[in-house]
Amino acid sequence: MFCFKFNKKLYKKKAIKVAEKAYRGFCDFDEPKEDKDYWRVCLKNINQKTANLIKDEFSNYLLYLMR
Amino acid sequence: MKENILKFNLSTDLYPLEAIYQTCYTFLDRAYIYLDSPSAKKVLVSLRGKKKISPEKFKALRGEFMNELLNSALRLEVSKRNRRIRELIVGRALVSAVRPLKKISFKEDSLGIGKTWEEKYGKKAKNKKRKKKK
Repeated sequence: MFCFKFNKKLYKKKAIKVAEKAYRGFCDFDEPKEDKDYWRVCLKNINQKTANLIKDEFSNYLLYLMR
Repeated sequence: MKENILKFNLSTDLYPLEAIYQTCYTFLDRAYIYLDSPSAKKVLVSLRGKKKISPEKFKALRGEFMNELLNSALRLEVSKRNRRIRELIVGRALVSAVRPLKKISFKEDSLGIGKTWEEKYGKKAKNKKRKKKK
């Protein structure tokens, strides 16, 4: 499992859910969980190399949704 | 600058969050962007090059980012300032686009409300009866 965090002040949960839906074809996602000031997003069934790329593309897509 | 990543802080007092989002959007095709907030009025921007980028190019990218940020902040400010006049112009344009209704004067009496029954039907009815007899 590969997890990363998004700040609650800067990223909305709704946008994270939309991005997760769009990226569901690449890997499995858990429901975003609250971790103090962050949303914790976890990827499943994915190798480390692909996970880094998915993380970067995912965060870019999330920024696009936040516009 | 480590692992092809450039990090820098922005103050939300100087640059509104909306302007930061807009600027990030224009750079999405050139770098992977990640935002964080280390303190209440600060935003930490992390730019990771999609390909390996030299330190000089990173400096240039940061300069372009800051310029674009200033541009977005200014556009946002001007848009806020001109909001009322923009709404007035659009409102005026929409009102003038509506076709004016035909004015009906009560003096014309198109429905014949002011006429008596005889005036309306009396002569016609008599004429019709006469025609039938003939």
